[in-house]
Amino acid sequence: MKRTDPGGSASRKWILGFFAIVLAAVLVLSAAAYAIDPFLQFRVKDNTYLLRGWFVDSGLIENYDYDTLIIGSSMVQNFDMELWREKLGGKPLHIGMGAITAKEIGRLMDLAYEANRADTYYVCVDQYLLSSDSDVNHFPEHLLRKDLLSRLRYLLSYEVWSRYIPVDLALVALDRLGITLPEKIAAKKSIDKLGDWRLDFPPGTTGREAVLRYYQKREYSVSAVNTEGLDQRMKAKIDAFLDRFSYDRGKHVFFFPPYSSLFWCDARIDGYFDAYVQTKLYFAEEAAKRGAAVYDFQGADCTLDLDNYRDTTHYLPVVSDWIIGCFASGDYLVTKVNAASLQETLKENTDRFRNENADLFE
Amino acid sequence: MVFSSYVFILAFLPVVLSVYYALSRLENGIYQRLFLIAASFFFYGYYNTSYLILIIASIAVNYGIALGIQKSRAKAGRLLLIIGILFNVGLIGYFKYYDFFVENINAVFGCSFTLRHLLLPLGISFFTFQQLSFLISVWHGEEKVERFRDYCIFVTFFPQLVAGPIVLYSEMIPQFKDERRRFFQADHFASGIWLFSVGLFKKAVIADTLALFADNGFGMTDLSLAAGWITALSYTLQIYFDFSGYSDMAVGLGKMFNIDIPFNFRSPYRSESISEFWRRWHITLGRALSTYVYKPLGGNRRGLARTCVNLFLTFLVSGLWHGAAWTFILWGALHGLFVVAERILKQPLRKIPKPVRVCGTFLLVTALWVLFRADGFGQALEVWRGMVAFGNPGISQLDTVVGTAAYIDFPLALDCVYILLLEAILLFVVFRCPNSSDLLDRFTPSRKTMVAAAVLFTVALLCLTRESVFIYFNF
Repeated sequence: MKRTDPGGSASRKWILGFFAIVLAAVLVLSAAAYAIDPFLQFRVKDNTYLLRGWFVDSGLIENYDYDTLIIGSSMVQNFDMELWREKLGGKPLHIGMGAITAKEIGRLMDLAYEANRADTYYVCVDQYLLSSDSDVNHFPEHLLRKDLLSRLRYLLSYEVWSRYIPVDLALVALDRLGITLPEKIAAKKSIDKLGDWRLDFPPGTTGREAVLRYYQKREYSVSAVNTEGLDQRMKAKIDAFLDRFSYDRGKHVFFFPPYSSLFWCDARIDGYFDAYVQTKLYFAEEAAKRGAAVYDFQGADCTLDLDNYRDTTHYLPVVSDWIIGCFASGDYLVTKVNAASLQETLKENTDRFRNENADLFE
Repeated sequence: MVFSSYVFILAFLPVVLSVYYALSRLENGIYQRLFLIAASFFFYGYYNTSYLILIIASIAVNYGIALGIQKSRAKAGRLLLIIGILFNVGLIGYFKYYDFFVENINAVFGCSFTLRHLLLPLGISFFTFQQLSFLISVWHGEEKVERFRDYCIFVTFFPQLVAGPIVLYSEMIPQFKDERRRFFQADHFASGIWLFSVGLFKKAVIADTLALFADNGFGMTDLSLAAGWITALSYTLQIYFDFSGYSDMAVGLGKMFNIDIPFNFRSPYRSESISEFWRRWHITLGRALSTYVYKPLGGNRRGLARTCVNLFLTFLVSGLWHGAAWTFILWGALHGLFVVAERILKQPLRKIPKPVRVCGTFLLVTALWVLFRADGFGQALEVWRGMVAFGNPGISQLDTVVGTAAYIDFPLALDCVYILLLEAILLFVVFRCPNSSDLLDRFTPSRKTMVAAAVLFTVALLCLTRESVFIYFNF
């Protein structure tokens, strides 16, 4: 017994109208998101939108005009790109993400190789990349892929529509109205200052006193390190990490960032100092075999002065500037000749800091 | 598979609906039902195929036992019923309560039995309870066992498979067998889309936004008064919009197939008492607990004292059904105690003005949800302490509860306005606006409802990139 629809044409029209509106809305929203492009997935707009590494890194790698890519954790976020241009020349792009993982570096490098824009890659090697048991990707997967469905997902994504487009449009409107934004907000729109955290820490929140205050309260402290079989685990991770790069695609420069001596004292107390130091030698050897350069700033004198720091690991822009200078001059470049002595200096500095600040460790 | 996902909305559902109605051209409706069973198994096993073996085994064993009960004489039938109860309780006990049981044995007797960390099969509490209730109904002669395929569709029909509503065989199977319901009916289909859009919006837009606040709040320590209340309120609203949103989608999907699935919620937060709350919240669970636990215990037939004990035990079972943790058991016990207290103090409570009763019930339910959501008693105490921290208003903590800093670091004032305004609007919706059942009753295929449904659906679609699971999938 077939049944005719009692709701008939009104309900049918309702259903068709519903799908027509949804389809039209999806098309209009996609077109609008494409035109605005808040995560720079199709084109680059500097000093226009609020930039957040999680969302714009992949777009910048694909679309920004650069020949040097600087990639790493919060240790590279304060790099001054103007100074870089002045000292090293070229067209640098720095992609820094707080607590970036090895997997994330690998994924971003894949995008960079695919974009084929850079001939030089600077990669910051935080030791946690090589010692941590977990290695996950926090970047939205659809922003790391370039297929049609991923693009559509970006254009219709929650973050785009509920978080960024409203704010970005407000920023554009304020700009058009000639309203000057506070420096802190304006900085968050700059590609050169992507992730730069210096304005988030005004005077009084950095330097020796602040570092010790955080240290005693265990704020901004580093994650605990599993020391069991650490040396072997790190070596295995180093092999896997170095194998992620395509050395024929350009010059690769790895660098160990200069954590404070206070960090190294803690590393000694917590039992991972020796593994961290020994594996650096292994890293340098393996990188050299692959034709990559390695800088090691961890024994530098600046690590002894806590006034150069925000906490036990994060150094202030003055140190970032100094690192750029070293890249230009070649200071702290690891060679067969100085590899061991650099580690000796690190040990001596750690002993010296401990002796000079014995009260901290009582 | 979850309803609020692209794969379900853009692939699974359109394909299943198209094939289902294409099959209606065949003379025999069996093919449609067989197809629905296959689609439901695909839906169930989408994320983990090993679940399929479990549900198929559960269905086969229960069907066999039900058939046995129907064909046996009283004594053998009773034995089969006991076997059936033991099988179902054993199944859920093993997968859901094994670790909880062992943990407690280890703690009390100082043993060190190994925990199994079993993966809880999706919706096991729902399909086990549904089948258990069927066995009991067959034993009482209230239900009749028919063909295996009918039983399969009763258990597996995907709109209600993993999180209810818990339906009765007698209210589902006649609908599937009704020849008129086999064919596409635009009026049903339109009302189904309408309700599905409302439910999807409730889940993907509202509940998932509130989930961020609740998760942030429950992760905090030393909560201020403001943070404590906003955290508790966020979860109270989240669980309502999450679960009722899911149920709306289930009812809406049923409508698309011309199947009426009962509503699970009728504005529960407007209740004047905890007893009334349970007549408006998760209605089909309440119905099942009343039929299969409360009444067999004696119900209200043996005097006030026994009634109170029966009520308390029923709520204890409800707490345990919701989760294998002491927090759930205490949550159920406290609800039971309040229901018992209401029963004893019926007359004096009636004298309290209605707005005060509604407000009091809402606050009580909110405070008890904290226990339901907390990872343990310590976390619940943290939030409760915040809710009475009158010396520490602590508006600034709302910044952490809102938690937008990870994306856009809005000023505190903006965060406060955002969260307070949002929760005020949602409270207005909960207390003053028509519920989904009313919306369905009043639905007409007008231009207004068409635009409203399309807007709700599209906004929800945008929010699906932050896919999440339904709270009640875990039960």
